Amino acid sequence: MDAAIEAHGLVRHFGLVPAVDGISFQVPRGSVYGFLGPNGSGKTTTIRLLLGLLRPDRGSVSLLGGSPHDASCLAKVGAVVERPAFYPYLSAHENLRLFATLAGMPFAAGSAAADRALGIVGLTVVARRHVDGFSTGMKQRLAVALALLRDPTLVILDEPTNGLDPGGVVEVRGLIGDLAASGRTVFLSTHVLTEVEQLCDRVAVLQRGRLVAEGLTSELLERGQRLAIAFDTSEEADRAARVLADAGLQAEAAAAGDHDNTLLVTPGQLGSSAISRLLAGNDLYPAELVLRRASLESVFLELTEGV
Amino acid sequence: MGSLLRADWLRIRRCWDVWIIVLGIPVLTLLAYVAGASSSGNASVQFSGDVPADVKTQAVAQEAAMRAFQALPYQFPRSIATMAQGAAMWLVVGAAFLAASMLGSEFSWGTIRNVALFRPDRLRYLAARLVWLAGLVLAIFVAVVALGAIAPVLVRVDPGNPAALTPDIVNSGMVPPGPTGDVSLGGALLVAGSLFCVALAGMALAGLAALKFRSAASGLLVAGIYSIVEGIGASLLMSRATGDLRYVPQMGLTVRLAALLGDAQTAAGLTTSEGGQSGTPGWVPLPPLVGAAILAVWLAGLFGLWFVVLRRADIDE
Repeated sequence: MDAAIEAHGLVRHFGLVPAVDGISFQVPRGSVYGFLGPNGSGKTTTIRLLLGLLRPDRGSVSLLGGSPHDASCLAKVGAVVERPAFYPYLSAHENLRLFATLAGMPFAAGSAAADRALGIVGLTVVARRHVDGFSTGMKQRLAVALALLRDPTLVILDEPTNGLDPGGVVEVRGLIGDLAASGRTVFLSTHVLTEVEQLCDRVAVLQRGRLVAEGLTSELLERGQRLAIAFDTSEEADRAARVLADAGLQAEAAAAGDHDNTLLVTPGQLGSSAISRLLAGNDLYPAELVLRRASLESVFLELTEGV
Repeated sequence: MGSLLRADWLRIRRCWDVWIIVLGIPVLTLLAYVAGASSSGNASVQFSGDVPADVKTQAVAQEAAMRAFQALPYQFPRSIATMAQGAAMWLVVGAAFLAASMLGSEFSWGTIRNVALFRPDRLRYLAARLVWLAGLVLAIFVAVVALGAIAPVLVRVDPGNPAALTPDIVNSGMVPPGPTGDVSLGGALLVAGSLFCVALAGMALAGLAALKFRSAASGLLVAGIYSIVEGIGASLLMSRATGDLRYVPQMGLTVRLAALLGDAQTAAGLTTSEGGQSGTPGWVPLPPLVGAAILAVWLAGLFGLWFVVLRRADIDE
C-alpha cells in the first residue's frame, strides 16, 4: 500500500500514564481516513506525534515518505491541531501572510496564497479584521485556511468542525469532500460520527491509547450489523436461540420496542441465507427475518465501552 | 534566515507592546533627565540675622561649589553616562520584558505550534528571534546614548564655576563625596556599555525562564526571583566565607553585573575606587579580564540554554 502516513509502534507516556500505547497504522494516499476515539483516548497526542510536535518514546512516523522533522516534507502537509492559534493583534490576512513568509514564500506569492485560502473558507470579507475580534467558528475556519495555505497533498484535521454553526459544519464537510475529490489525503479526527460515516474510506478507533479497530469503514459497519429474527411464539424463539447457540452464533432477545419473540443475531461468518437454512433444517420458520444495518455510532460505542 | 527575520518583522511591526517599550524608555529617560537638569541650579544659601562677613564668604563659596557640582552630570560627555544611568532600570526591565513577551507569548497563544509546523528547524527560528531582540534592545540603548549626547544642547545647564570645586571644599564635605574631575567620552560610553551588558543579561535570563515555563509572566517572575535569591545568597556567602570560598559568590551573575557597573564607573571617574562594591563586606576584587570572562560565560550559557530548551521541547500547546 502506498501510504501517506505510516505509524509503527508509537508509544508516548506523560509521566507514568501511556497516552499512546503501541499504535501502528497506515493511511493510504488519496484516502479520507477517520480517526475516532472518546475524549482522552490519545487522538490529539497521536496527531502531535505524526506532525513531529511531540517526540515518541518509541516507534516511528513517516509522512509522505519523509520525516515529520523535515521541512520539505512538512511543506506538503497542512494541519489543524486542536484549538486555533493566531496572533490576536494581526488580521486574518496578516496572520496567513506571516506564516507564508515563514515558510519561505515570496511576498506576492504569500499574499496570493493567503487570499486563496481565505476565499476557500469564506473569510474574504473579514480578511482585514483583527483575529482577536473573531468568533470561535471564524477562528476555526481560519485554522482550516492556514492548513490549506501551502496547497498540501496531506491534510490532517483534528476536530475541524469544533465551534462551527450547522452551516459551517456543512461547509467544512463539503470542503473535506472537495479535498478528497482532488486526490489529497485527508486524516480526519472527529467526534461527529455521521461525518466519518459519510466521508471516510477507512477508520481507526482509539481507546485508552490503543487501536481497538482499524479497517475499511464498510467492514467496520458490517461488524455491527444484526439479523433480527421474529417468531410467532416464544417457544419457537427459545428453541431457535438454542439451535443458533449450538451453531456458535450469539443470539439475544431484542430490546423493548421490537416484536416480543424477536432474536438479534450477529451473523458472523454465516450469511443470513445460511442462518435461514439452519433454522428451516430444525423445523423453525421465522415470521420475519431482517438484516439491520449498524450505524457507526453503535459500532463506536460497542468498541469503546468496557474496553 | 531572511524569511524568518521578515516574518518576525510582520509580527513585530503590529505589536504595540514592543513599540511602547522601544519608544517609551528613551522618552521616559529624557523626561527624567530634563527634570533633573531643570532643578540642578537650585542650590542657594540664605542668611538671616547678623551673619559675620567671613561666614558669608564661606557660604557663597559653598553655594558656588554646590551649583558647579550639581551641573556636572549635565555637561557633555558626562551627560551620556547620566542619561544611561537614568535609563538603567527601564532598560533592564524593558529588555527582560521584551524577551519574556516575545518568547513566552508564542506558547500562551499556541502560535509556537504553527511556527513548528511551518519551520521545523526551531533553532533557526530562535536565532532570528534572538537577532530581533538584541536589535531592539540595541536600538533602545543607542537612542538613550544619542539622547545623552544631544541633551546638553537641548537642555542647557549653566556649568557655573567649576573652579569653585576646590579641594578644600570637596574635602570639607560641603558637597557630596565623589570625584569632581572631567569624564572622557570613552569613560561615559564605558558606563553606558556596562548597562547594555546588564540589559542583555536581563534579556537572557527572562527569555530562558519564559521558554522553560512557556509564559511571559512566569518568565519575568522567575527571572526576578532568581536575581533576588542569588543576590541574597551571594551577600550571605560573602559575609561568612573564608579562604578560597570567598571567591565562590564572586561567580554569581548578579554579583558580576554589579561588579561590572562599579568597575565601569570607577574607570570612567564617576566614583572613586573606594566606593561601589569594594565597600561590601567579604568583597574580593577579581582582575577585570577574569570578571569579564565569567560574565561572558554566563551570557553565552544563558543564551545557549535557550536553544537547548527549545530544540527538544514538546510542543503540546
